Amino acid sequence: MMEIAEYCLIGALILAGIALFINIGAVTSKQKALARAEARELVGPDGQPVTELSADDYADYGVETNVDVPKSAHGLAWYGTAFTIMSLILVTAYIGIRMSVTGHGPFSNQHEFAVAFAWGILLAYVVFEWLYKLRTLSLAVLPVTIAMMVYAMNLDATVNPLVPALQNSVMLTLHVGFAVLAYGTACVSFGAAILWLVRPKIKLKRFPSQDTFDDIGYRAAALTFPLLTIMIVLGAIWADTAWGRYWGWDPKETAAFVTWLTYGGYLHARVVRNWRGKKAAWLLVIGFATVLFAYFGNHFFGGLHSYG
Amino acid sequence: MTQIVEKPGKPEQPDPHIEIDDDHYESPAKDLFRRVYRFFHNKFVGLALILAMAILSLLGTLIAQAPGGVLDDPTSAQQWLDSIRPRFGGWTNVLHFLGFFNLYKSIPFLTVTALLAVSIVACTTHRVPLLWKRATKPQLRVTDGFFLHARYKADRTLPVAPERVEAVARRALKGRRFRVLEPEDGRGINLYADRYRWGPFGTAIAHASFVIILMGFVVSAFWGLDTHVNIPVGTKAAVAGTPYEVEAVAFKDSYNEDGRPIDYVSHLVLYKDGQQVAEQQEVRVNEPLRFEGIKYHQASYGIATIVSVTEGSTVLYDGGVALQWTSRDGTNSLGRFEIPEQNLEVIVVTPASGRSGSNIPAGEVVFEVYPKDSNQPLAVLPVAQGSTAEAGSLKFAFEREQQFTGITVRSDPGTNWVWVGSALMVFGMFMTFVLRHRRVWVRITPDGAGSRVRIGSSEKVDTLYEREFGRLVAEITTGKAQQP
Repeated sequence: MMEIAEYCLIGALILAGIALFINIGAVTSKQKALARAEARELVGPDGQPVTELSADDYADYGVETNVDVPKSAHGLAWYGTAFTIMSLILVTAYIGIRMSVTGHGPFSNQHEFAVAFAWGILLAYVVFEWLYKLRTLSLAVLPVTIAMMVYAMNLDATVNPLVPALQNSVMLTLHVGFAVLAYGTACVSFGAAILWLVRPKIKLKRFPSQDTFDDIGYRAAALTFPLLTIMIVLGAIWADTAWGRYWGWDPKETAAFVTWLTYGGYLHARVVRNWRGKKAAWLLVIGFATVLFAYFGNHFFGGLHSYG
Repeated sequence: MTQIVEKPGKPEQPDPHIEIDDDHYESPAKDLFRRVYRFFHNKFVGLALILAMAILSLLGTLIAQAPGGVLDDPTSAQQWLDSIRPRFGGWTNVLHFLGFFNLYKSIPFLTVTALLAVSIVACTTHRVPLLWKRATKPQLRVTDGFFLHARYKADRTLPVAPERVEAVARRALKGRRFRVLEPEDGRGINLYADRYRWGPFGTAIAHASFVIILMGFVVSAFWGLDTHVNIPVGTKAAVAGTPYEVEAVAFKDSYNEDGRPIDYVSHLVLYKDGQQVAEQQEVRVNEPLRFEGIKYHQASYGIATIVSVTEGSTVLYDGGVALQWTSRDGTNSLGRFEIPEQNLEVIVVTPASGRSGSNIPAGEVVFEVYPKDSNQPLAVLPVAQGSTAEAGSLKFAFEREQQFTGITVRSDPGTNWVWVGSALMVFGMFMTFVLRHRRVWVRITPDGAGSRVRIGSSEKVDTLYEREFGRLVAEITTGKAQQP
């Protein structure tokens, strides 16, 4: 069973790599089909796509909409999305098989958490690609998920029994599950920030504008922040059950709090100080650095979270 | 023709044609309170405090934090500082002076926390009236200039009467869950529409919740019970400061074939004023014993010695001594107990389990008897299991070794504050980020035989809303608006 799971993970890594190469090709290619696909993704000031309008039940002036609804283009870029989704499915299968073997969420050691992190990134990316129709985002996000999968493969994947402190499968799954979702959206905001920063150096006409990346970065961070909040609150509830206190300044707790403050700082800076562009992008990069700091902290923090 | 023009890259300009909720405080600062208030509701101050707290917390994870209570006693503080001096070198004393080895109780951290709480209160009280005004008394009419400068806008001439366009616009807006209002000045057809006008109050709820959580921390710090008892199996231990005693009936630790721990479980019985009041056969890390708001958590375990001290026929001590410390060279395990009647402290030393090199033979303990507050032992007494040794009029007996279970006893009245604050925070964030307040203004004027319709929405760059605005404009300008 675990052998099949291992194949799923290897397959997911390969597919994510292929998706990245395809998307690089799609962004830089000049093929017509791609241009059409990208035109649909690049929602500019003109030609707003008007969809979901059926002819029924309308009081019509007799004026036709001038918006051209683009047809789906099964070009290279479409395959980029398809491979990304297949990669996500395979990582999900890996996690599902492992969960059926271990009986708990895939969060009990650094290997499982690394795979879950990669899954979170893929899921967040797929959602944002669907929302924004923007595959360019993958150029910065997929390398992180690929790196995380490679990292996971180099860690001890042995299934070991949970240490007594972790033997609460509901809280383990909820608490770390929300961490994974938050980290995934944090990675998307990081990817958007990186693309914002490198955008001026890219001469491709069809590359999305900095404003678009700024907006995606904000949206993803606005999702990261509540997810981090829920993760920390669930952690506090669990800590109260297991250790008798909701907060103890354990290094990992504190690192999560630093991450929370950083994203909170970003949102405040953006909303009330109108920080956009470069400063906001760097704050998102710092935010993801704090996420990685909290994630890898198990190796050097010690404290009550040092299970991995 | 339809225009929906966005100007990418341009800095956001406050719109002069509608009310804005920035920091401008119209009255001059006349008194100290107003000046202090202005300082604290300044968003830059709030942002600086958030980042200061983030940096201090980060330092707390990077700089070694002294175990609880170590820095309170000068001797143990000096020992601890010496132990970390090789790592921090000349910075050790500086960091100690700043309180950074106990950072979360240091003056800088507590000051930043208090200032942040004040800033949040000031920001919230300053903002709520503006949000209230925006929700209940929106500006229904905007100038023509607004339709030129709004970020999302459309301007189109249609071959139908204004009233017909208005009907479609109302339908389109209501279909998108906007409420539609109009100014009562009778000057043409003007519509104001908004959606989720209560959403922004989520920020006030989320900010207030942070203060509630901080108050929970304060309550916890001053009114919580937090103590630890090591109970040799088969004995009782009193919980200091409470009428409770805990008996460890049994303890079991299990491991898999690799030596990894699988389970620690204690069988505890709780007594109040000598009467049994609760019993739980399986107390685990995740399954504490709960009684009258106090929780008894499985926290540690180890080996204890069962000893007694008598003077003639008087029993001065009879019970277990948890061997909860290890000597610096790791070869011996140590425990301690006191004989208050004699003002003595006794250290019990045994060879550490699984280690070689101890100068104490297996099956033997050494009693080191000290006057309180002195490092010079009065007597050092090796005693074999089942034997006794005498020092002056005192007789020390080592009966046997026994497992002990370490139980953390906690009660925290601040917890409920934290849960209420946390729930409000999540709820407030949901309101803020999901129920975004959207506002649209529509002006419809006669134009020859038809109409001119202008639609504007003053929002920050938002690709997803931009698409919705585009659909709304398409519905209004084509007449293809669904029935709400």
